[in-house]
Amino acid sequence: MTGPAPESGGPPLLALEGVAKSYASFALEGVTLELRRGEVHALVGENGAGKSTLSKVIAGLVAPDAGTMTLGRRAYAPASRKAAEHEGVRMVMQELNLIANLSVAENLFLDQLPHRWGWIDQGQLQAQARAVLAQVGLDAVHPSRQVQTLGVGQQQLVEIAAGLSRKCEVLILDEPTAALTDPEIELLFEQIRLLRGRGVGIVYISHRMEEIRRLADRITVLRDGRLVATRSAAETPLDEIVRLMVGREIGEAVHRRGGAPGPVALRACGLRRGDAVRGAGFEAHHGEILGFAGLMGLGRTETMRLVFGADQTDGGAVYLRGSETPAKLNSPREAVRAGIALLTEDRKEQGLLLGLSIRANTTLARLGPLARFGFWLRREAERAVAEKWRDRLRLRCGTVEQRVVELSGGNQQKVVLAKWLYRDCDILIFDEPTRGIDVGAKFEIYGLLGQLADEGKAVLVVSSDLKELLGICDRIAVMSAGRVAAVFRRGEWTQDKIMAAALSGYLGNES
Amino acid sequence: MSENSPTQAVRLRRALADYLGLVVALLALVAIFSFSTQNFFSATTFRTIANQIPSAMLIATGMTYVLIIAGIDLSVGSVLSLCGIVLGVGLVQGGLPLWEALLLALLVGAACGAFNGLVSIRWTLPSFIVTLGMMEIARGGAHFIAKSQTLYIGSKVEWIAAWTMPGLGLSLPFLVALVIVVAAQLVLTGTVFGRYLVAIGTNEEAVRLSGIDPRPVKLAVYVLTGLLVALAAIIDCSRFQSANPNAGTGFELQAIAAAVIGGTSLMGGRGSVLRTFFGVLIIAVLNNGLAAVGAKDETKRLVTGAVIIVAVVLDQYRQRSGSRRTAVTPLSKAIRLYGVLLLFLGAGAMAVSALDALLKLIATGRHSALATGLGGVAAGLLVLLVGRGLNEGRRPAVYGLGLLTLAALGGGAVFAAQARYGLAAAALGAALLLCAPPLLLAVKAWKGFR
Repeated sequence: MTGPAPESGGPPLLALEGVAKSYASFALEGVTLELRRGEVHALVGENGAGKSTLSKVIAGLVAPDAGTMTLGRRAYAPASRKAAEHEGVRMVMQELNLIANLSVAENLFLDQLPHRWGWIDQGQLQAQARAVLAQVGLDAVHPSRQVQTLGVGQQQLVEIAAGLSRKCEVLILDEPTAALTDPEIELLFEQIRLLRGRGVGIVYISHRMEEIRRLADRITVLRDGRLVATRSAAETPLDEIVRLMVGREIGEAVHRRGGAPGPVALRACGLRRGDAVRGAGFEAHHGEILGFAGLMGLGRTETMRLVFGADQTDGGAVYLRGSETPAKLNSPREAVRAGIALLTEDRKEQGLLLGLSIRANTTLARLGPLARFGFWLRREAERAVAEKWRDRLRLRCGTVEQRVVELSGGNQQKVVLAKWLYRDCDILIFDEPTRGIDVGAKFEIYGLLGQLADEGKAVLVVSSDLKELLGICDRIAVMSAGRVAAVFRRGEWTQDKIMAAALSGYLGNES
Repeated sequence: MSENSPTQAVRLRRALADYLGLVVALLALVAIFSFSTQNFFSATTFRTIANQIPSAMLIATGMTYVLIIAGIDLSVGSVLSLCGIVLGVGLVQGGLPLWEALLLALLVGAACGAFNGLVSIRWTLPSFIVTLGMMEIARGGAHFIAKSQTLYIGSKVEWIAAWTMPGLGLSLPFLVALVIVVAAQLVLTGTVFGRYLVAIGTNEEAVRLSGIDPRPVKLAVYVLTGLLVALAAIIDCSRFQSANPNAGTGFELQAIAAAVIGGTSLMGGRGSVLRTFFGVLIIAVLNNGLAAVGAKDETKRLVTGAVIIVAVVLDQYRQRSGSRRTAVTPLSKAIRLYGVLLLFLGAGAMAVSALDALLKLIATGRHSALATGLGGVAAGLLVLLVGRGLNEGRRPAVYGLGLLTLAALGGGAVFAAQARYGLAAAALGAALLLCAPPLLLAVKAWKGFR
């Protein structure tokens, strides 16, 4: 259902004209957009298409480099999130913004706590909070409960409630349903429809097409920071939206030639850890790229960390290179010695020494051969190594003495890659290798992955971007509920089959 | 390797930015005290300072290592007293031979460090808390063993501090401490171990996920610090020929201050033993100089506190100038470098004027000294701002530079005519020399200034 048609006459509620913002590369380029009163306007696009940046610009978190915005009839250029909220533009962030050890009520009204002589008026606070919570169906939650005692879904709803509780003309919801259960989603949708009825303009960002189908009045597609099209939701078939989002067939650009895979490099059996990994098993071969698909945050990263010894396993074993005895991989140190490398999901927090030079980052994992008597570092040799990998990976930088923090995301990823290639690991696990990387660099990384596989290395890629996996992998293992639900070869797979497998663990016989 | 290869230039620039400020500050302090009192500038003063600081040098060296791995060691002062007491009791009451007693003291130091390291690593506790506990334990232990009495040791250990190098008159402890400082700096910058320290301080998780176990490295740092502290305890016992359970009170803060003045980051990943050594020197010169001027203890602390804060603020500028993206042309590079130079010159002038005014005030009690001091600070600030502007490639800075040049010209002429303030005239002349050529260059590079 699409609800009552939004008024299409009159001035738009919010108009954007030529909005641009660039960081290292363009995040937004000349976006012109209209939000009407009482409409749900969906923003869709691939990761990194600029949806989040655009919504941050509207919500006053990011100042655009160029372009103008108009709210109602007035020029609108919020200096801060607070200024935007003052004008009635609110955003519910993708990441939770709650203070975990304060109560629900205090979080809801943090910037306008009812008080008398500086003392918080608890009675009034609770009453206000209760009313707001009822709006999102959280009647059962007592306002004085600490936020950290709530589940993630409930926290998300509290966050949304906070957005709904104030003056609100434009509401931006960034992936609001990511952590919600189905009944919670229904409640949220009801609220959204209510707000729409009241004339609030809603910007709705989501990856989930069926939600957009149900809610949106109009859909705007972003790609690589540009606005591709704005269409009426009712008149545009879903596959056309998807085509607009992708723009080109990634699969064509980096087709794997899919020769015969080499011998087994790594076999994992029944890996378990807590609720996240419940008996995952798979085989990775030399000379192939094995992808891991599945829903975000559901066991893939955790599985890879177990293989790498970064976390302790509750059970299961890993066999390396056809060996019959399980490999001892209780720490990253042992894993690296066994030739396994993990390029972590979060390269800034877990992969790089941001404040140090490219040289120091490249050589970190294997300083031994660069040191006299295993002790005294030979700077020249170190630099030669760093420069060799810089050239081989076509790293764009000044000198190798440049600090890694100054590089773009794609080049930072190449530095991590250089570290592992210099360490001479032949089983390479990439966790979200292209997250936060611009399109050009993405294709370079794809090319490198293909090269590595051709050199006989076993390459394992975890990615939330299914098209990426479809394009680069020889085989795809689909994870669901902490297990590998299915493995497809190139040619056997379709998006439908993969999605079905990803969901299979959550249907019916949950054990 | 050729002279002008990029890394060579980068290293030179870094070294300049790294040590210029500290050296200038140290020299400025020495200059001020030399001019404001008759007897400061003498070999005796410097010898005295050199023989006072070995224990501070050793402790600050250990502290720098700990700070680099993003830890902190608050227990150094108490552990120093404990090691001293153990040495004293071993020698006097236990009747141990000297070398056994020394070994015992070193062992105690290493054990305290190992305890700090093991506990904070095993239970992933902040080292602040663990070493805070150790600070109390060691102090309590020292008092317990010594029954809260100062132990007279006497001549058995005297020779350690009494031996001096013929000619220069530097004591054995100072020479040993100097060798250790240099060695520690070389280990930090040139070895695998040193690289691991910096890497762990920068991002421990990334190091672990690179297949390196950070725990033994961290443990080694705490043990090493314990050993250095024990060595410092031996030196202090020998200097005073006694062991005092109250020794080393506040040493941890002195060591942290020295490291911070030397630009060590409390967040880890950044620091240099050699620069910390300069920090120790600055604090020592400040203390001795103020004493020579006749400042009371409270004034000393006031000034030292202010110096620490100024040093940290200035260090922010140093860092930023070091991390800025590299300039495009050699000309703009030269201008940037010159900006850094002016920045430090201005900062130095500010500090010198302020301190000079303060000293005059202490010595004479006349408030007119403050006015001249304020003038000096303002002039210094102006130079600093222009320097910063140049370094950041801001165009208005060129106007500022022009004005500065004119002011230097005019001021220099006036003072030269009066011929009374020889020193001021010389300073202004130097400023002029520094200002003019780059100004011309800057104007030349007008179009591509940035």
